[in-house]
Amino acid sequence: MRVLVAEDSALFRAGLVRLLADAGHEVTAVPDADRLRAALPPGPRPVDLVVADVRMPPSMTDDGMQAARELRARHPGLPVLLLSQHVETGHVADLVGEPGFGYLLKDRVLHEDDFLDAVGRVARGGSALDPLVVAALVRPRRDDDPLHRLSPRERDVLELVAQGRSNAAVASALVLAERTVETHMRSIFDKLGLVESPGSHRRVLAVLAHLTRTGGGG
Amino acid sequence: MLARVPRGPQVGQHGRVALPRTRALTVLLVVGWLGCAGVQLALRALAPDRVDGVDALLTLVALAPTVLLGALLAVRRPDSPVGPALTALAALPALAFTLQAAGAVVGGDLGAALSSGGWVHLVTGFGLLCQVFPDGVLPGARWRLLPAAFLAVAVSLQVVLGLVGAGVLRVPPAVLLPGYLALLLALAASVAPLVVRHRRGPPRVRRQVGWLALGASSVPVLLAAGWGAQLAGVPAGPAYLPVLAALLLAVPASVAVAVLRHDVLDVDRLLGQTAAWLATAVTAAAVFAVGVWATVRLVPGQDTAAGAAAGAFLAAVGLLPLHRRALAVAGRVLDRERTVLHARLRSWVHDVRDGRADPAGVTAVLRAVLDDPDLDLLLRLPGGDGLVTPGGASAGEPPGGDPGLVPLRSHGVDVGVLRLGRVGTRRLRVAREAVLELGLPIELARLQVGLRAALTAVRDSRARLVGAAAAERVRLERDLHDGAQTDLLAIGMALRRLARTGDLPADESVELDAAVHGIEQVVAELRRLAHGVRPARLDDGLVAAVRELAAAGPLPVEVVAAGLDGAGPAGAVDEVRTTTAYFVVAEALANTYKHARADRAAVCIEHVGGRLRVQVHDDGVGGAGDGGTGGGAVLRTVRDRVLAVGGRLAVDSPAGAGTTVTAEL
Repeated sequence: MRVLVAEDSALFRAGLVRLLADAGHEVTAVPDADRLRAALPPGPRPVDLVVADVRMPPSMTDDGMQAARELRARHPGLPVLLLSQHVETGHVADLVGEPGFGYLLKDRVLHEDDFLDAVGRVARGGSALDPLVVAALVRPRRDDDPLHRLSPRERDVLELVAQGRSNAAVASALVLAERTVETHMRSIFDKLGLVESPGSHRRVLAVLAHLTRTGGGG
Repeated sequence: MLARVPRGPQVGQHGRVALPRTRALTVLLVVGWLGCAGVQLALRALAPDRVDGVDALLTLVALAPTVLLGALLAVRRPDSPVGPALTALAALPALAFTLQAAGAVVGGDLGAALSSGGWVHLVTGFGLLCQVFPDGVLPGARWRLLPAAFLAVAVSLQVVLGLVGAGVLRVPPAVLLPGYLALLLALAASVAPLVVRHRRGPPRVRRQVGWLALGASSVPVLLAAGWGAQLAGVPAGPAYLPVLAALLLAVPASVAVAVLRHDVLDVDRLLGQTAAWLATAVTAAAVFAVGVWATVRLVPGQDTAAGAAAGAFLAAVGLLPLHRRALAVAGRVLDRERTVLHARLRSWVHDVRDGRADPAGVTAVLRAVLDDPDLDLLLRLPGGDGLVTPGGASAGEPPGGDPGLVPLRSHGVDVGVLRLGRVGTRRLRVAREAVLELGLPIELARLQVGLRAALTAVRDSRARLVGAAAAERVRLERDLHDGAQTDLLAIGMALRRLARTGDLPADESVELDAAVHGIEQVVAELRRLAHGVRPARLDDGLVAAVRELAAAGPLPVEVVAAGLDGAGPAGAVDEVRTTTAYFVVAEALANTYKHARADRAAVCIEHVGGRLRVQVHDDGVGGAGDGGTGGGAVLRTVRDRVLAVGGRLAVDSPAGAGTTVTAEL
């Protein structure tokens, strides 16, 4: 898989490149948002995934996010995994729930397997959201929020699903049978008033769409 | 074509009508004076035993300065009648001397007729001068007749005296008294135009008349004394010599000053003081005389020495209050302008002292009182350099050569400068007196401006410090995120890779794992620290940050925002106010969570008309404002931060009715 890494810190960039290369990916790297834009001109898509830091030169605010947004407009469906030093849901509320989008704290790279799993999921058009982002999303905001009606177990399941995990991954994380996870999911969809849709990705996206629509950090 | 514009010469013609006559008259008088001198010298040569050479010498030497001065004035001020009048002042006495000499040479009745009434012309010139000084005959039919009437009286008296001298008229001297009185009345009438001008004329004329009055006041007094002396048997020469001296020295000198340099000294004040001294002296003498008389007459057995002592005592007791009173009256009558000016200044100073007037209005008062709309009062602030107006606007240093500068000093300290728009010797003097009178308000205005400037400086410097601190917080937060945190994560990745590929023994692999875990915790801790320094979520804008803050708490919090672009980076609100507003909300919500026992809370953010208003309301137990709960101390730190950016904080927290914290930035 061809991965383009955009990260301004040389040390962290090198670590990222090595981690992805060790995992068998073909990696190129750029140090700022302008070169990230230049690396993906209009035309045939030269990479399968962009991994970008949100805060990068030149302005050191949210250049990486802006560039990613532009690139997704230029190459519809381009999978993008944004890395951030802290959770800023306001920036990405509209991207959460789109296919091929991930948003993780930089800390997650220390858990190599989880991270590479997330990279693969996003590249395949799935979703990968940081647990902190999800926690903010699934917190009930109003008295009549249907999230209130979820049982604690259902909320655990919802959080993991919202992070982008498959039923199997959720089942192993919560030490449950996969069928039990299925039951919880049906109940969650019921309580939130969502229409069950086939396929793991689409189910996650439906959940996220619901969460960002009803609350979402912005 | 050009419009028809009246031309300069035509306009000026009217003013210059008198020009040839003035010059011709002056020339005539000078020639007459020279002729008189020539005649006298000739008569002296003809009959050295009968003609006294002193009169010829007097004519040529003593009268010469006045004649020359008159001629000079006629040249310098061709449109003024003062030149010929001054020349006449000297030429007419020369005529009197010549008549006297001619009478002596001719002898007999004709000689007596010639020489008897000539002295009249010693004062005719003076009378004429008074009538026309300084701008010609006063308008009006009666005033226009005055010179002719005056001359008629003088010449009539001269003729009558001549007839008496020739023996044609034989009357006792007392019968001539009405004639003398008529001349005296005519002289008094000649002085009347001066009084009228001094009362009604513009300041320049009043000052010029003042000068002439100062020089001429001696003439009638000395003339009366001369008559007295003559009646007592003193020969005419010595009796009228003082009059002549006054006419020849004091009057021309004061006329010259009045016409050429009337601004040199404060003539009104000199005049007032002279009059006051005169009045004091006369009254004191009268008191002394009455005292002597009363003592000798009324107390039996007392001699003149005792009377003199009593008179002196009475005069001494009354002298000072009398003089003070005389000065005040003379000031009111003769120096009205200055008296009024000082009265106005004093009443304003009283108003300032009683709090009815603002000392900052001192410039307006000076402009009005000194009649100088371009005048400026510039103050030097304590400890500051440069000058400011009493309104606080800074002003440049006035050029050193400016003639209209009056320095202001208080206790030897340079406190500023008064810059006059209209300069003159008299204006400068009056301005100096005015700033002395206004010392207190000027000092007050200066301290007021100084205090205001100091407060502004403190506020500015506090704002700069807050701004610098905010910028520093942003920088620190970035450094933590992009420096330390990222580097630690890179190190962690390297360790992970080592664990993955290094083929390490199991226990070392576990240790490595623990190290990476430690790094992860340090990074999380750094994030928490950086967030405390400045919440990075403020990058999304104040509203977004507050929404996240509200969502993170244990209570349902409703967030309402108006006037802010929620998506943009902080909308139009600057970093300092954004951070402060966020801090207010965070602290107020923390307070609510901890102390209020509330069920719900609401945050309202408005950005209207450049003002940022944040309000946090809860439905808890209240009582936060009075320090009854632990919230008081927290709210104090909030208040300090709000005040530091020039905002206001209000806490409304009645017991049992919830708490509302409102900050305006």
